[in-house]
Amino acid sequence: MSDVANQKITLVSNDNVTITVDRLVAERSMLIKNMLEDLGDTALETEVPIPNVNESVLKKVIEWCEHHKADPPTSQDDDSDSRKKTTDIEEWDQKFMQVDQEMLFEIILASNYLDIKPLLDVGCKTVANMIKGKSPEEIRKTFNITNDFTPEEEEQIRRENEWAEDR
Amino acid sequence: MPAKRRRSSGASHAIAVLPATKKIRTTHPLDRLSDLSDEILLRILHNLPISTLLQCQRLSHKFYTLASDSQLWKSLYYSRFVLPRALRIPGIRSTSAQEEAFHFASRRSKWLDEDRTLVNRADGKKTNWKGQYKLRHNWARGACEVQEIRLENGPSTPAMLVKLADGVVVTADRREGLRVWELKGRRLLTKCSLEEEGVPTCLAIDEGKDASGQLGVAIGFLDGGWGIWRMDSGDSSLSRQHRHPKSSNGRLVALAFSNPYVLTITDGQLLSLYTFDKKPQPIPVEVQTTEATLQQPSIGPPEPESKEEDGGNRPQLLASLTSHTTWPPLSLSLRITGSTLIASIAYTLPTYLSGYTIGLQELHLCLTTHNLLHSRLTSAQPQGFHSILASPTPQQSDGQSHSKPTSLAYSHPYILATNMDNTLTLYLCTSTAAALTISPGTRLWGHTSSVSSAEITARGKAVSVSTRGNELRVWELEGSNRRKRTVLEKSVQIRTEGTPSRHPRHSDVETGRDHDPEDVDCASEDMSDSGGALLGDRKKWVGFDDEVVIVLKESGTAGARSQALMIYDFT
Repeated sequence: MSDVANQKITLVSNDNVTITVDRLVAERSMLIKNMLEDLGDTALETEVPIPNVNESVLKKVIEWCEHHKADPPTSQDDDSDSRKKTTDIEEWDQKFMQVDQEMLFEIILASNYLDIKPLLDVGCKTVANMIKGKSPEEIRKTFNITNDFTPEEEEQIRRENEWAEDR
Repeated sequence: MPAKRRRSSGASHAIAVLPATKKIRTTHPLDRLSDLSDEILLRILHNLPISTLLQCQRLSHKFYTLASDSQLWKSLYYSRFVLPRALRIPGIRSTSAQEEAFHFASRRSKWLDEDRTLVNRADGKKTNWKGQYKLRHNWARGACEVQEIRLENGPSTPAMLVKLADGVVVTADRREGLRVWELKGRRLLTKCSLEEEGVPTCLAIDEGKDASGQLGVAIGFLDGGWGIWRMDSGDSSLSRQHRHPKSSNGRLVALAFSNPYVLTITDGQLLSLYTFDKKPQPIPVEVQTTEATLQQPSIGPPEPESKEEDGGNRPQLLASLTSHTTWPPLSLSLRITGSTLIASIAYTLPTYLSGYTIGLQELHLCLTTHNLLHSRLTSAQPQGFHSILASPTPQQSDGQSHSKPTSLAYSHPYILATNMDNTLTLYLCTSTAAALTISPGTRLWGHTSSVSSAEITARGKAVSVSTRGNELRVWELEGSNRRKRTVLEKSVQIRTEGTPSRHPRHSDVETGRDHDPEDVDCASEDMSDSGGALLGDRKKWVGFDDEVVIVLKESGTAGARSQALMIYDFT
């Protein structure tokens, strides 16, 4: 039995690319961590398929995990008051998130699937920052959202929400 | 680095462990945002400020639903309105401020949930958190819509009585009788004549929650009698439950009603406490006070009891006392704590050096035996201040009203007095097993004319109205008095939605005779101001609940006055 710090785990992306990473890095994913706890070290000898994530996204996620492997485990699982610090994304994470929209959403989906909460948070905040300060039309344009309201309906919602507008 | 290998068959064991979720293929391949699961989208929306969140509602039907999510608004509500309040409690700040902002221990969360509006909806109905947020937001800005219910043309002597409870407004006067108005529909729910009863002089609504949900109303009359009416929640019919006969003690000036207890006070300052709850203890207790102060009330003779049988539901006189120093304006209150019933009277007290101050007397009665436990009184003035040698300290001088307050609102632990000199005075009562004290008064500034009426809740939210014009202010006073001598009070002037002018939008019940209510109102108030003694009759009344503020106003010229209820709706 080797030292935990040196243990490796082999992951397989959905396009059948195997990636070997340090166990500690992979354990940033609660999904993998829990699996290892359940199966014991036998899992280290087999290859673990990650069916929802392709190679490029998996690599990107692992890059993030590498950088954050020393982070203290986060106790705040949900709902923490991250609200006030919306724009506070670590500089490294900001750079990390400078990717095209497709990759950004793939990272969010992958971190959600792999259960990496801090990465999911960074992704969600990044998207929130893309939404912030924009008009509905601009938001729709940014994300190609189809407006399924009639102009009357939209006007009605606007009036409904007038109370919050700064005057 | 990763060694790439082709694998035709993966480790079947591991596949079972990591379930493959279905990859949702999109009909609209470019809209990747809307394709995210609701759960993830909510996480994203959680990071947005209110204004953007509401913009998002306009994106599409999907976002409309998501951005209205109740949990989302609940956490917004908590972080803006509940948490700041909770952080004032010692002990919560240390633990909850950082890591567990929304993870309150059960004991704390129970406390936090004591928010009345929220508890009321604990009956299985879902709280509309967005609605709640909007409500608080509007209160904080003083933004509301105004509507008017025209009550009566012509003057009413004595002034019309108004109370507000649970979405209804209760009014009572001699001519129109007892009327109950529905707030939401701005319509008359029910009325019953008081023609045979006499002239109503005071009005109270049952503070205790009746199990049946019936609205209970107590009315006091000019002849010293009083009665209890109940409104049936089903067909909204009013019926008289009890009529207490007239008494030789003079007209009733104030009432408090908390089923089954009724507290009354007469012009002659005779305070009486009754109960409908039959207990084997029929002898009225004479109140004795041990405090050797100048304000010690003299022990009054038990009220002459000339009770008639009233369906076997005769009230029992539990206690009475007279006092010659309880000057109006005064405010009665009944509250039940544990096993004790506390009947209290807050009143105005003339002093030798500095005009008027506030006094408070409490009667404690055992709920089970109805025995008087003790009685105590205090005033907002340090004991012994009556010595003419004593020089007023700065603390006192800012605490005393130099003129007689125009009205007094008492909702434990706050007493709020309104003054002629454009200010309000806030007193904080401390009532413990050992002592009853009132803090020195704190002046609240903000009004630009004489303040005529105010109401305060036990949580320190107050609304005040000034005599002139339509100036209304909302105060958040909780926590302002105890901490520092400097007042942290904030007040917001209520302004009406959309209309920058002070002219309210008039609604349905308005009748023909149209003079500009605002301007004439100001003029007539001027007259009453100079008249001084007439103020009592022209006085407006203000009351509020969680969603609306109600103001009773008289308008018109001296010859043809009319009364109306102004409803300031914050929803």
